[in-house]
Amino acid sequence: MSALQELLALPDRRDNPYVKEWKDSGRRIVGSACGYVPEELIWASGLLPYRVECRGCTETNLADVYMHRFNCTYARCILQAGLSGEYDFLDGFCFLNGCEQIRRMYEIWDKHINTDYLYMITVPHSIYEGGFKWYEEEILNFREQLRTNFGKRISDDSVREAIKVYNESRRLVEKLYDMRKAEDVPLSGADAMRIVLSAFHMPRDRYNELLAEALGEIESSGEHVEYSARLMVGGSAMDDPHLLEIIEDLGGVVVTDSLCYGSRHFLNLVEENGNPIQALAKRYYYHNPCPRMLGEYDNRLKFNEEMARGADVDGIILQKIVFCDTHGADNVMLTEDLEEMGIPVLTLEREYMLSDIGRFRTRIEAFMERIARR
Amino acid sequence: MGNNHKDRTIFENWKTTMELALFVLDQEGLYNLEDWGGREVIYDILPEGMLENFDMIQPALVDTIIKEKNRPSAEAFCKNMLDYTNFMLEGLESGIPLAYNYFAISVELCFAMGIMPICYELICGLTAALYNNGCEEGIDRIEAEGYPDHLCSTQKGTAGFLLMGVVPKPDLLLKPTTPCDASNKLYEWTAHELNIPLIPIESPYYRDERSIKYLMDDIKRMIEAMEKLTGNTLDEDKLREHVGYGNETVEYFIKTQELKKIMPCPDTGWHRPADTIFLTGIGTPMSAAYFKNLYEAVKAKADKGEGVIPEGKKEKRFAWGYTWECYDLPFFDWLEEEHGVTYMADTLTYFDPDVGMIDTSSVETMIEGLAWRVMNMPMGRQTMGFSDMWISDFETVVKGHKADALILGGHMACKHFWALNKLMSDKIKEQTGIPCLRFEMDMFDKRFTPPAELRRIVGEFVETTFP
Repeated sequence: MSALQELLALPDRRDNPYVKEWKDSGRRIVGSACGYVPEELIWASGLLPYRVECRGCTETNLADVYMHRFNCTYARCILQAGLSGEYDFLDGFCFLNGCEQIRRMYEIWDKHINTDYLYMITVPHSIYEGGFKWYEEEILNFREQLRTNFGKRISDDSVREAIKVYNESRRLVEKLYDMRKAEDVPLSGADAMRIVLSAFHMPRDRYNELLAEALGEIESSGEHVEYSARLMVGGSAMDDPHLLEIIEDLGGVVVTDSLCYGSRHFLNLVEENGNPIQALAKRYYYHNPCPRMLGEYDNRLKFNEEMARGADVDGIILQKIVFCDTHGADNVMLTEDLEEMGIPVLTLEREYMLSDIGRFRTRIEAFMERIARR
Repeated sequence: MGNNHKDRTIFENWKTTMELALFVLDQEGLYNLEDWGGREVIYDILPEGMLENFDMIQPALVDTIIKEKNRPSAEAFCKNMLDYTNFMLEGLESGIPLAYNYFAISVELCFAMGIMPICYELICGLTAALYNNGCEEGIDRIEAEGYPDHLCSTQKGTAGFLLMGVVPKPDLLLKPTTPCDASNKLYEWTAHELNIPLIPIESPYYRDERSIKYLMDDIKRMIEAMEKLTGNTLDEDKLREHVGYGNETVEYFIKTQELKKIMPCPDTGWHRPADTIFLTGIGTPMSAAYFKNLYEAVKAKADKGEGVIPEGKKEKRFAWGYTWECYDLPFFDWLEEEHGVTYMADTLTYFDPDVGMIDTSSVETMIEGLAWRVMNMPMGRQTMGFSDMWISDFETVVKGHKADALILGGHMACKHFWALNKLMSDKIKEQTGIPCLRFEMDMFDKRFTPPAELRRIVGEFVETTFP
């Protein structure tokens, strides 16, 4: 199997050989559910950071006991996976007060799921100097907690090494995004998403090797995707390439995104010199803000516009999971402002699990008629 | 019967409503409209200019406040609300900067800086409590812009009223980052849509010294930002005066809270939404006066050994682990009269009895005290951090007030609550063995769980659990 094939296949596999190998060698894994958790610290502790997701989730009957139907299905699917034992391989889980639903999952997890180590990092909801200081202290506390619980001292040098490894991923993923900006798009958005998602579920140094090789394969293949419109996708947490396949089956090609499982997770390098904890805090706190950050709308609008114009898109699809307040409100504001800037936008509401595909197709088809260039 | 906010602002309507209510309450022997000759008689005696307003008011609300048992506190509410409304209108008239603020923020600082703060949530809440059409027009207006129905109705209502032009546009917005994303997002929308500066104030997740210091620093940042925006500076004596009113408010609030432990409970349930309304005005003399008047009214009942349920009915004491609704205040009176159900406390009206008074000796001590107060304000205290605080507060209420049942009427938009109410009901059941009712509602939008449905849900629970 080539590197490219391996990265494309991993997100759809039920068994993850990297997780198995890691556990078989006696090493431990710490999960996280938000892009504000500095994975480098987990990696520097000799642990495997694992960003949870639950593609393929079809029911939430166990989670519904603790989380109501007014909680989004992204949170409920993660909880469902936890309650049904799918995350029993995790030795720890670092939660974050990312949104109302994810932050409350911490307590439910604590009381009803048997994960050895749980921690919560709290991130301020606005961006300013005092908030940065708070977040930096939170990261320092997290480092101390990891040391206490997993018994390995995390030196500044080991954090610097981790930063280098993770920055390498960021550079490679950025290269992948750059390749998709070309008029001849070398791969589908769904495949690009598969490649990116693989990063969350394997040792990052190995991922870097595979991705470097895969990029070479993509470049030398000379293949490109036929399309009638170039698209960007944004909005709520989205980690399912099959959703992008629906869009792309209708003639579009997704060439970029503003997703927290995509560009927002990977863009912005961490400074490699100086105090490594401060450098991590800076990157994670100041990176392209999630809509949870109050008073940062203008920056999010600017980021969406830059991503869209940078990839020369014909339109943007902003999706939101039902009951996602942050993206629910942001999508309305963004739609109005991006349309005013001359960028067509389609907003879609969905559940985390794949459903209601017929309605999506109809909406997307109509949008494609509006924006198609060929 | 529309709300007729078209040619009058909502604040002006509130003023007329309070004047009208005091006029009605002033009528000798009027404890029941039907006995008195019905609504027609009121039409005959109402002063000119009040008729239209009278038609806007929920008829059942009028029937409730004129009852003999409710009169003293109704008078206290209406008189102080009229004073408070006049205070707001005079502030607006004078041209001082207007701030819309989220409930549970240190508005004493605004008064000390020559800024008129009005609670963004009060606008929707009081309108929902008083009028037939409530806040639904505002909600529909903002939802017509595409905003999701699952955002909070209290901000949606006010946001819609802003678009309708029935409340004035503020000069600045003050928002703590607690309790939820839903509220944060509509403040952000308001700032963006109306081009108004927004000052966020952080809400630390923990309750340790580091968190108090962090919040104090953020309050200082808020003062600096307000100074920069308005050019006004902080007057220490003014701050002392308004912090004093706030202390008085909390003192009487807690005293009344303690009286509710008496059996039979001497305090009626509809006071809880009314308390929240006045907590939004903490730091004003009107808020302090309301809680003092309320305490005196409840104490008088307690001293006579009187309860709020009809004689001969067995009292069932309910703790509301989340919140009240305010679109149907007579519901609480109905629970008392029909089912003998009394109301202990809810998240929006529970103060930790040990919260303490603010030391007014210096600006620094007042800021420290305000930070601690914000961390302990009802709802802020429970929603700011881990759920343990919320759950343990209601263990305290259930045990301390000898509650017979826990009611978790969940406000649709509160995602954080929907993810903890099972934990709360499990814990309280395990600790005390009392039954729990969990159901869906919206605190302000009556269309979600209409009054009749609300009565059916809670009524059936009472009938089946306490046969």
